[in-house]
Amino acid sequence: MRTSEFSEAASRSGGKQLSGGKRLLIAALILLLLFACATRLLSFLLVPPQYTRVKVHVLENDPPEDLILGTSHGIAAIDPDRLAASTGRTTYNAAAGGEYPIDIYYLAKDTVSSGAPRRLIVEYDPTYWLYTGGMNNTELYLIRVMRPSLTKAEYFLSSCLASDFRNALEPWYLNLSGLRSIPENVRRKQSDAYRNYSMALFEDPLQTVMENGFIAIDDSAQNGRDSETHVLISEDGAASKAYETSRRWFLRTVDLCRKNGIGLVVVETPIPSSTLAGDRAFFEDMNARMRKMAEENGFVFLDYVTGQNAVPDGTDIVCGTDGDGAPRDDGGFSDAEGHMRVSAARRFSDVFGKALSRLP
Amino acid sequence: MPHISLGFLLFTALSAAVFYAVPKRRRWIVLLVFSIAYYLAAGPALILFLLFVAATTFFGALLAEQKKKGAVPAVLVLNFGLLAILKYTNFFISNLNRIPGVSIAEMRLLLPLGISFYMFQATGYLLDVHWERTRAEHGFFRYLLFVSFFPQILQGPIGRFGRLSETLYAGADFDPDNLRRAALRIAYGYFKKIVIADNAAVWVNYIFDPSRNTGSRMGIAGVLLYGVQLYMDFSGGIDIAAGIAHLFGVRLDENFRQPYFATSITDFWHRWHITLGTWMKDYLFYPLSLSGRIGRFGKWCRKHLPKQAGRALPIALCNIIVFLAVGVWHGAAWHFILYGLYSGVIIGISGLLAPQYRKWKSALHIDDKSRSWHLFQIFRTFVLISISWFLDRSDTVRQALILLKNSFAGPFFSLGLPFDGNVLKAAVRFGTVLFGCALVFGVSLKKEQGVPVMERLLAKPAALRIALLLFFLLSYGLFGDNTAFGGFMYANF
Amino acid sequence: MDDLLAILSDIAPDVDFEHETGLVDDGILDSFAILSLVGELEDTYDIRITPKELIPVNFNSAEAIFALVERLRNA
Repeated sequence: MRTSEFSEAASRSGGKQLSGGKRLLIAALILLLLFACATRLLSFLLVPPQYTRVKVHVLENDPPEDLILGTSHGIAAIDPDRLAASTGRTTYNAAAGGEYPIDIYYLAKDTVSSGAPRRLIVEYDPTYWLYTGGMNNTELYLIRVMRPSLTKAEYFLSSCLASDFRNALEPWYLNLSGLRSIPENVRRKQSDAYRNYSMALFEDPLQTVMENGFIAIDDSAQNGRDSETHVLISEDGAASKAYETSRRWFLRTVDLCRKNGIGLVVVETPIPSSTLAGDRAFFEDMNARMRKMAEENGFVFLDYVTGQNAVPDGTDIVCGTDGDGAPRDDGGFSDAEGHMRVSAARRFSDVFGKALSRLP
Repeated sequence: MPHISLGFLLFTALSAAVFYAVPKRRRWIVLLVFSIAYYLAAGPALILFLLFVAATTFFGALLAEQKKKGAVPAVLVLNFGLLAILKYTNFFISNLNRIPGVSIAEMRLLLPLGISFYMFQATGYLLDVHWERTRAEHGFFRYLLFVSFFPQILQGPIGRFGRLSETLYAGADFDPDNLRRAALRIAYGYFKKIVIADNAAVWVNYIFDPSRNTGSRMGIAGVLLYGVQLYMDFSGGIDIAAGIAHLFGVRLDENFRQPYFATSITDFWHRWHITLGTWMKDYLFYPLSLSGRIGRFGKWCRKHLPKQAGRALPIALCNIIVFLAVGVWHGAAWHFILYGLYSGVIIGISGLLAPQYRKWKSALHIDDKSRSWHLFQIFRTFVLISISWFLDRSDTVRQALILLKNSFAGPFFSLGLPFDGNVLKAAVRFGTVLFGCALVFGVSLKKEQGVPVMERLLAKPAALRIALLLFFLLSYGLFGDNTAFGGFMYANF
Repeated sequence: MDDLLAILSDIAPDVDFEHETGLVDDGILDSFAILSLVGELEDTYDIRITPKELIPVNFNSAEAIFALVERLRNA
């Protein structure tokens, strides 16, 4: 009798047996730990290294005086060295494919905390402002490679809270088609180029990622991507909503520049003339809106597509018309959408650099 | 706040944490606050509808308790009138526009989140009070919680005040088993939705795309996959809702009971979207059947028609009306109406022919307790239900009929799935759906045999549950569809 | 009571009405059967059954149905 009473009392007081709540807590912690390890491992195996990791590293450790942010058009069209030749400032191209206004804002904010650039050059692609989809690989990756900070937390909450929980908890789920490249991923992540944040890691026969962030697309490269025509946002509810969201994020970037004394130049790089011919109404409409924003908020807008520029009074810049020296023939681009080949890009960068040097 | 968003998961976790941090008596207030917050996040203006429904039914019930005549009909008209306007105005307009010469512009009406569910729940309460089946709730905010309870507001189940109030206001004590049940059920629900339903949906959307003329037998694959998608999506969502309710020790009514094991269309509707079926039975079917007009019609039938017809005809008629309502509940379109009528007519006919069926069975020496007969019934019901999916999923009656016709007329070897050339991807997706179905089938079979699967899991060692949960968690990323950001199918009701 | 049993057996021949106590709760009588029964009861005993009375406890057994009928007849 006494023995069983004793053991009963022991289990009740939690002597050898843990209470239900404690057991649950331990189990939950074990589960969380296992999951964290599994997801970390899967990220390591499945997610290939991206050049954006290098770019974020540069921004956080060695920010330039002139910082270029923008989309895949900007990454292919703007050679920072050619700009620097005219402006005399250190210049870096941190544009990326899949870099949307929200990403541009947080990259700019992240840079500011390391040392505000003198000037921010935002490459503007109106088609990006119509995007209604969820998170993409670029954004997920950017959030992860950013160093821990309030900016990173804010970036995470702004983009991940409203989207599929897998983006935050299982970001590798977008990289499943690369199962065969697991050994490749592992090798690259353990290489010196990776550890030293070198762009040499991203070799490709048809394009070179330069250390200054510019991607030199080979003159022979042919991506075969067709151009699209776009609806006017005044005629499409979904597009209009997406535009509003993009605009809000863009204006936060404008605000950020104002608060930190950063000069802002928005540039729209040229697109093939045949593409423009098929979509003129859209570009005219979008660029008119951007010009209005530029005038209202006091920043510069250089429109190499339809010429609706906003520059300070008295500045003498030829931009967006035939004769401004920018390449527009289809041969200068690797696809109909508008990714410039290297020769055309360098010509454009010379022109753009000279225009920049004329700004006050 | 979509259920699949990170924000929703954090919201739910927070609500559970606050729930147990607060004294027992106040816990229902926590639920109310979080429910209102959830609804506000969906769109601030929409809450006016919720408050309207709650307020009218609340006061209507108080008046009904005092036997004030006219209160109940008035409140019902207000509420269902509102629902009709919101849901069906454009349907009427578009049909009127078919008359040559008529051209009315369709209105831009929003459908407040979950209104088809919470309004039914609220009016059910009102009628329960009216028929003295439950006491009226005298606290408005307590009642508001009943109407707005966030786990079930999106897609049900449609609850009854009598049952739900037993656990909703109790402020359950912390019980680790409840949390275990919650975790397992929620994870299982997300598995059904993300891994099975979303993957099946890729093909279903392709096959039923109205811009595509699917002139082959793909329609068969389409409805089979749709049957999978719909069940996994809807029951998965219900699992998530029930699981979240478990976090607070609240029990929700079951909405699914292994529907594809049904032996007749009648049985199917006792197993599929159960709470809608029972709502219709208790608040539409029975009252309608017992009403004066139908009663008189019934008397006439029993007097003038042969015995079975005399008995069954009035009931069959009411049943058709009820299924018309079910069809209409699903949406403002002719194909939904036909979808409802399809089931209604089949049930009506089987009611009228019940003695005939008995005679045929004995003539053919069919033992209706035998296993093979049981399997035949399951198969027959599955085929009939699959046909009804043509009407449910298609965008128009026309498309449904074309797909149905092509399913039997097209070249035989065209029975297959749309294929974009990527063999590996298609195979993986197919394998995933198949594996998922096998898993769910196994669980369903056990439940059909009366095994209390959840309780058995709770009795097993923790390591098993941890492994299972880990499997589910990783499956979302490894096997889930990653091409679309999909909401729940029943969230637009 | 015998009349009642006769009616019940006519509607659902395979059910043991003398002993069953879960006619509704166990799903032995479905809604068609219940309503057929209601129709017959209303005709036979000249009573009116309203939704208020249509609750499981009134229909779960032959005794319960008989009690309901008696109550309504004497009301």
